[in-house]
Amino acid sequence: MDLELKNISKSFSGVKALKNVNFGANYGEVRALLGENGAGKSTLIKILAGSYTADEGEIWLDGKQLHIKSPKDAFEQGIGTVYQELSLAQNLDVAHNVFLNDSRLKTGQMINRREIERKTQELLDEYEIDGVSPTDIVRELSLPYQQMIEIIKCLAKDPKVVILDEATSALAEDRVKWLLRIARKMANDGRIVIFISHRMAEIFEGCDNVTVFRNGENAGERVLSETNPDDLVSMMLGRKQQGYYPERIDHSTDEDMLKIEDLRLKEKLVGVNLSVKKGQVMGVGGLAGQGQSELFRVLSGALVATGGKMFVDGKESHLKNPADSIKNGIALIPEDRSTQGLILPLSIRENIALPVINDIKKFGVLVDRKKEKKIIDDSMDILKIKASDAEARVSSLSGGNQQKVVFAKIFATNPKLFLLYDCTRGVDVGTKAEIFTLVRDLASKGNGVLFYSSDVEELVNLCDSVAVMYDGKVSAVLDGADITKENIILASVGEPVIRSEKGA
Amino acid sequence: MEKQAEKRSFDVKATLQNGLTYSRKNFDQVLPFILLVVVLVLISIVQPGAISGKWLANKIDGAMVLILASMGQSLVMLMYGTDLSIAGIICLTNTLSALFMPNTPFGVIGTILAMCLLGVVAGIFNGFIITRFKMQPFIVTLATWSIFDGLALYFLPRDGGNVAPLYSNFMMQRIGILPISVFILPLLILMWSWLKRTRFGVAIFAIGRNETAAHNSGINVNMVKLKVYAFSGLFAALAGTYRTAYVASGSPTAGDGYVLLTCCAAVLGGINVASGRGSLHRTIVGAFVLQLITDLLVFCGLSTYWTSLIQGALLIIVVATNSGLDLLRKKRNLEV
Amino acid sequence: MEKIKRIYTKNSSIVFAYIIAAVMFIFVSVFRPEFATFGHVKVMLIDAAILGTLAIGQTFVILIGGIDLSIQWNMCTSGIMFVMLYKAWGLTGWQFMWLILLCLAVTTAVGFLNGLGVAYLNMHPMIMTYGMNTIIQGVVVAVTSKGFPGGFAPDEYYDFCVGTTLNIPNLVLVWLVIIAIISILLARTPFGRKIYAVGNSETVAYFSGVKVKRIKMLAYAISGFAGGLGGLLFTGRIGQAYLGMGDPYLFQSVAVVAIGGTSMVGGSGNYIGTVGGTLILIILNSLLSAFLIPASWQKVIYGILLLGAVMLTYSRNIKQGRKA
Repeated sequence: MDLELKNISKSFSGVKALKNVNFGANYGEVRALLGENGAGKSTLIKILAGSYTADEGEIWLDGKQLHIKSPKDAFEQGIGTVYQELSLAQNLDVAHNVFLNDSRLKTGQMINRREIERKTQELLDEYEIDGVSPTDIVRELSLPYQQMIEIIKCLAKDPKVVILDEATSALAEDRVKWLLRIARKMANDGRIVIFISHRMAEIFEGCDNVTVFRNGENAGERVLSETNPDDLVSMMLGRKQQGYYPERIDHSTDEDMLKIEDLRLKEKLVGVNLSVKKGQVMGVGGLAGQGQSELFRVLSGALVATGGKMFVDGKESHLKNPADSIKNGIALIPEDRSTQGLILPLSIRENIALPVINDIKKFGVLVDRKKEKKIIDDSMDILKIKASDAEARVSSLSGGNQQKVVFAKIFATNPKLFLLYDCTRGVDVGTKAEIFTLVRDLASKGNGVLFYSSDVEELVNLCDSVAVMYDGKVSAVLDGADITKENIILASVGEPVIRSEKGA
Repeated sequence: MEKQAEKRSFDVKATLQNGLTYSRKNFDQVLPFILLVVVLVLISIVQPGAISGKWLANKIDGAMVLILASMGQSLVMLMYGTDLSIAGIICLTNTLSALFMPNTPFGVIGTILAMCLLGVVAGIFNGFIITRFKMQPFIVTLATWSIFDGLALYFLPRDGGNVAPLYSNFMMQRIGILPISVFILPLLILMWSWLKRTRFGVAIFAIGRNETAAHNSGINVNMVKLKVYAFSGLFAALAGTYRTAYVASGSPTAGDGYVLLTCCAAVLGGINVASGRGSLHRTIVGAFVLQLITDLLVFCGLSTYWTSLIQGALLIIVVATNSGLDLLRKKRNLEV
Repeated sequence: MEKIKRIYTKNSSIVFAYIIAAVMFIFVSVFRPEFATFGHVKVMLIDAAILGTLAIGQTFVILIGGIDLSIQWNMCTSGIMFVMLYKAWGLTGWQFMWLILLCLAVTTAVGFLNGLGVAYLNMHPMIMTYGMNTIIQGVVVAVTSKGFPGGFAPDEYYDFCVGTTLNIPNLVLVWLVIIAIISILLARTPFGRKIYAVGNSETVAYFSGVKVKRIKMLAYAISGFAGGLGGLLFTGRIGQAYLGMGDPYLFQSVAVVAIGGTSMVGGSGNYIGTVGGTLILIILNSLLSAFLIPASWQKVIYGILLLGAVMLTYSRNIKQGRKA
């Protein structure tokens, strides 16, 4: 193979994201990279792009070994990446961005504006992008156009390998077709194109081969013309480690704890309809970037919806900030606990007490240490948080225990509606089991639980119903016997689900 | 013939409209020119007949220290920092060049170059600590401000010094009505025209407040920062050295007030910290305008307290507006 | 025993600061015995009380990740306002108490304005507070230009400020009370918790229901208050107020917070540390004067000291896993 990644391993804080992965591709091919969230494809790509360094393994291109320690190294050795998080300079115009940090320039040499504008226009023409001129300031372009400029920027360096990391996520339908054409063109020009996407239709339409990742390993490769979506889906699922799931007793009542009507948020949420009953665990599925994060943020008050209505326990709610939603009885376990959920340098006690710090006062001014201690001790007990004591710094805890502290935090506010966003990510098996029991327990007490997980197995075994999101809307709500792994994956990639007669 | 005239007048209208839209959207960049016109009008009202070639020449001489010092501060501000040590470097270079400049052509040139080197070294020192230890710029430059101030005080405890006549006479002479400083202006203009087109110049704008994106594009952010502080030190040194010629003496308090003045000049000149835009050309205008405003206030009998009050107020008003508008823009684009 | 050990590691830099202060004191006393006399110590402690009070605000503001460069003229404002109005309104005796409240109200209002700009308009703290500093300077100089050679503090007030109770200077007693209040405020109240939360991570604090902008604004308001209070204490101590009395404090208020182990990016440190830093700086002041070090080298030394303190705090915090 022209490009070979051999025996790549990478761990984060003790959790192995990639285990001895071998991956390869040839010039002229468009290779798709498929896998669930957390399966490892993003990590592999970041290693190739220079954002991470592998713990073990080698990268070979054209029979020569590459040494990549930074994004700059990657560019210089022929690897071009189109990032998901835009790397454009908002203040500069298109041409300057496309030729940013051109290494051909010597120190002090002036950028020839006419030349880069001409070359940018050539690229724009070659890759069929209209509606943008090389002199437009990037800040004024809409997101889809910025995404396209990202792609041109990568191509301007004439890379041998082009990595498109979910490059279609910000694009509209017609532009997706454009991107697939461009990918094909890049391959025909002799490059290697690595195409990461969650959309089956795109993969089958635009790519030649596919490598499937599962659980940090290369689960297999196929030639796309010789396979079908079901085959790939079963490769994605494989035989997963069975977690311990508590008995699922349906405690759903008829009353709504949460009702969302036609919720809108710019172009991220385009009319979400959903209701969570009291006593119900409603799962939220779908692949990353379909609006789940935005939905949770709107519900927790971090973003304000631009349209639609929301009812919490029967009352219409307008949430302007997280303090509002906490007051309304909504509690959020956020996406990224280290930057949103926990203050790592502070102690367990300080973290857990923070959301309710106003309510445990003595003499109206001081913190009531006794009350605080009770809350902390109770939480640590109930959740079985393993630490020397409550003064231990949260950064010293394991991932699982950290997640438990996040739970303890929200319990103290006595919520009725729980928003759990990927709360089992990076958590060990034992703690996961405890969290599952906890989730069912919450439901049994009459609370509503909205549970987003990137792990399909969890959705299937834990939830009473599952709403799958795709493209900013709920593409399917599965109840009862319809909740199957296959159905969830199908709905996640935009395919129709198979309903049994008993299901809704 | 008629059609041509029609076409031409239509173009004028379109250009005017384009100009107005541009001004509205980029008000912060048009500000220095608007202020310039306003101030000149005010001056002609308050001091009728004052504006003349000779007057202009004097004004440019007087504004040059501020213009030079503001160049460096502007670039530092574009990278979301502030260089407080500018005041200290001005003091130090002013006193050293007032004390030790030999009265020979080589001596003069040599001293000027030595001062420049000193400024660059000071700037590199600042930049090194800021990047290596990931410090806040204000705290590092606050400390070095004290150090440079102290050194200046050590060399020259009181105002004075013996400025080489060769130097001050040369710098303050007039060629016709044009002062030497007028010839410095085109150099500065050319310098920026060149600098903003180099990789380094573009990188400054690319980094702004978003260092991660720049790093992802392969830019060596720390190196750019280091160079920017070196640049700032260099121009502070030039400012201090020029002052030696202009005031014909040295003073350990020469730099007083220049922190505020340079920030204000930069901001009036369109350096927008919130959005990361600006240009040193416009900073020159901004510095010139600030000097004119100050002179105008003094002429009107308002003493120094009014001037510092207005300078501070201008700074806050412009920055508050810039930040406020940027907040509105962010809200519209949903950046939490 | 565990608890004591833990308190030590958490506050190691603060303990370190006090040890340094003690060492310096002993060192100087060896060479200049008059340094250690009770009288001299009293003088130093009073100076420390004033500087320490001014640094209260700076501590809060730096803890949330900002800076207050308006302390310089804010403290001057309260002092000058105090003596001017006392004379202008013909007040007598203990009526100056009301005046104290008024001066504090004014400086706190300035602090609120700072907070408004930084927290609600997202302005750069340095620019906002330094601009404000200049504006206040202009106002104070303008108001006093119409004939103000300097004013004198009311006798009763002056007597209190230079007096002692049980041989301990009154101002030091006041400071001890202040230290207690501030420490409790930071360590034992919800407000204090929120300050640390915001200083460490505005995002997490926000998601935890903390009104981040309000907390930031309050920090700047406290700084305004403390600046005013410090100015009044200074005026009482020397019996008068004059323009420029705040000049050294611009640098010194920041320096003592840094030397006291508070991280410059916010989130860690406390007022006890600032107190330690204050002691070090005051002793250093005296030390430099005692050895007849000229003002120029004093400035250089202070600059180097600040740099050193910040770099030290940086490396310590990095080891603890913080950002800086």
